[in-house]
Amino acid sequence: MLLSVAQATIVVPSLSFVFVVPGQQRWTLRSVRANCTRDVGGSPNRAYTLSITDGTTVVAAIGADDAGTEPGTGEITWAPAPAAHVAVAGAGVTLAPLPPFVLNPGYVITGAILGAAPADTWVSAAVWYDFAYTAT
Amino acid sequence: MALYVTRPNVPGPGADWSTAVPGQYLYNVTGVAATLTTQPGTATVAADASGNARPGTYHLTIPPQRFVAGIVPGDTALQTGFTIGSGNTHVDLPYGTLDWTNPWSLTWWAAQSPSGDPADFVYVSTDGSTHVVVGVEVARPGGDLNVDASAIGTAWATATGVVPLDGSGHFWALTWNGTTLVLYRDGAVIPWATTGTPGPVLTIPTVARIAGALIGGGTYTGIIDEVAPFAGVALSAGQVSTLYVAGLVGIANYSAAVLALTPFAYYHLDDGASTGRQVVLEITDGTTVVEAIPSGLAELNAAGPFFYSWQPKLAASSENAPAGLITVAIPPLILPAGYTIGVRTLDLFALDRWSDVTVWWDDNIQQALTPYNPYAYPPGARLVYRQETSTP
Repeated sequence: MLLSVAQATIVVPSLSFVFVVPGQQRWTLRSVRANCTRDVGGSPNRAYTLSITDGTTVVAAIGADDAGTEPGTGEITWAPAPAAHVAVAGAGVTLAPLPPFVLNPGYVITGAILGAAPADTWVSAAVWYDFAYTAT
Repeated sequence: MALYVTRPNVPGPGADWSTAVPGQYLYNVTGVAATLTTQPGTATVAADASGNARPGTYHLTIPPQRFVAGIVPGDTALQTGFTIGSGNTHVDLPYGTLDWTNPWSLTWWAAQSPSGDPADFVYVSTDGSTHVVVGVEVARPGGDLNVDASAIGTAWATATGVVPLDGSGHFWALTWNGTTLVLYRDGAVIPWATTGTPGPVLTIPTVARIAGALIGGGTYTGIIDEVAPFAGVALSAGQVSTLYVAGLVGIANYSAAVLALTPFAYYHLDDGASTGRQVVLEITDGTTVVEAIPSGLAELNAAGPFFYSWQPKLAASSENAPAGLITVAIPPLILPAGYTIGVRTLDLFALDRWSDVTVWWDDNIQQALTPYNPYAYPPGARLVYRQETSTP
């Protein structure tokens, strides 16, 4: 078991963040957590998705709910637990289920804000994973 | 496999707890439990913090009355004040105070809205029927502060334009020593523009009201907080200044300073939750938050305590609000040394307090990865020496 945390590089403003499984590593996902700022105009259609591709084809897409009043902040965690969301005023905290996917080198994890307001943006994102080396 | 229970130290009031996995350990978390004791009082009872058992009754009649961040500087995120739009929201106090024939004092924090009713009543004491004994009023649009006594509309004293009508928070004090009525704003004396004879003593006060007239019209528009009447004593300038300075530090200091002066009553006016408390379980690697796990359940608006249990491998979270039981489904947590587990409570109140925090974990995975060295004995192991003898 080798637990690691990687941070995404996000250039604000951005409606997406990306992680790529490096060569010769195999990741077992434990969680993805991201922060965003939410501007006025996103509700009620705003949602968050975490997509996983093999580099070409989408193999999984997991949605997460929006929460909180606008303007505000969003904190979204994808982890192996039932979906939930809470909010206090503009601070929304959301959990969406994420199975412990095993991802080969070259797999891509993408987080996106759908139905965003004009000034919505991701601020930070981190992936917590257990990795093992692989020959390929 | 061995099961362990860790009891982390818990912080004082108004703070969340967290604990770190010690070096050379690997927690396979079986469950987490903790108790959240919330501030006393409900939105119907204005608790008396003086210990004199003189609670008031809220009348929250017209939206958008709500409890908001308090005015005491440095504590606005936690302590609540009481804000009122143009309506008849008030707090009734069934105790007579501020009999102007005897020394008295009144302290409060307030932020007047830019617009509102022509007469904002901070505090009024009456005989319960027809006679105002002492009333404190803010008049719009000029921002005059008027003190009335013993008859409706009889201005005992007026300070012209001294009340900022810009929503800014200020500390106020009124004192009467039997001879002189003194007004303070932010610890400094404010001179009266006009003063007069208070009027004949018509009655002894038997009831009082915060934020509204008991007789005639007039409400309150703004935020009012930390109201404390003092009977039989006129606070000195030094005492008023001490209170103001304590308020600049924060609610804990201010509250202690008020109680040290033995008020007749002391109303924090924070008895209702603003938007409710929401507890999020937070996991970090020591630096970065890797999981923030909400319950997804309804916010906690009532008085506590609330008993939390976070459990992995559950299909759903559940809540028994009347019993204050909340069970939250969490992911499996395998936490190496240096990782932390704790809570972040959205809208935590100043006097909310966590207690009885327990982290239940096993060493199943730790043992699978790094079995005990046969020459490294776990804590509590007993070595037994037995000598074998042989018969030649």
